[in-house]
Amino acid sequence: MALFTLFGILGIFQDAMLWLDILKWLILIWLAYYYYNWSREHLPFSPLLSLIVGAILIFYLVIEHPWVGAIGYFGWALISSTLLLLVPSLFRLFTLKK
Amino acid sequence: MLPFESLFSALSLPSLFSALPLLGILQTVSDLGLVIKIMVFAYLLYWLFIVFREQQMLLGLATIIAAYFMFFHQLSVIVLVLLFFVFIVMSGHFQFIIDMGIVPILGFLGFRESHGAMEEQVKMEEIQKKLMEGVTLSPEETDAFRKSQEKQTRYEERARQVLSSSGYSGHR
Repeated sequence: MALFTLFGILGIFQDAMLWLDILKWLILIWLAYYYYNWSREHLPFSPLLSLIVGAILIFYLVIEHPWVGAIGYFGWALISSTLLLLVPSLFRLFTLKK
Repeated sequence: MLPFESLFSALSLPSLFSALPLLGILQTVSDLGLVIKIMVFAYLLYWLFIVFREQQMLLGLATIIAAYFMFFHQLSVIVLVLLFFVFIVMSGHFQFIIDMGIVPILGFLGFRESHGAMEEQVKMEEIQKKLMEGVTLSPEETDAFRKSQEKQTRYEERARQVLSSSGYSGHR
């Protein structure tokens, strides 16, 4: 019985790793799509060129250096979104007085 | 063979001071350099395509010229494109983020805009109040008061000069 319980607890961790693995693959696939889409948007006059540039970007930024690609993407999302404007508002929420 | 022999050999002095990690970093930097060059060239082609959309001939010529610049003046082109991107394409957005995001955060952290003129005015009002009440001023306060008066006189003199030279005589 105790052994079954132990395996049950280990199973949770295994499941967690499985989900993290799935999340990692989803992020990598999204990154690949994002960089291919970037090349498609910036080289709309030549499908062949956009394919080549997209392949180079995916090779270097997703396959070879996924951390660089991920930091580049999330950094760009942080800068180009309005998330940074929200930070002082969140500060203000905690410094409100009656 | 001892059980941990391979471990010891892995941690030996030469392998600790190996250049391999450095080579890896250099390889990464070189890879990213290629990626940056390709992205900058793609940006150039994108802008050329927008400008010469209707003139295929000019688009071709401009592409050749852009490729020439990209081959022989890479660094200058990359710096120029980055400057253009930061100061012209993204400038409004960055200004907005700085004014509405970063400056308020700095304000919460204690870095606030100084209002020098306003603070000086408040100080002068306090000094005048003391004078009215007949309180003796300290030497620093006397000095500050004198400087403020001189500044005021200079300002009025300058204003009078400007107004008289431009033929403006003021509102009655």
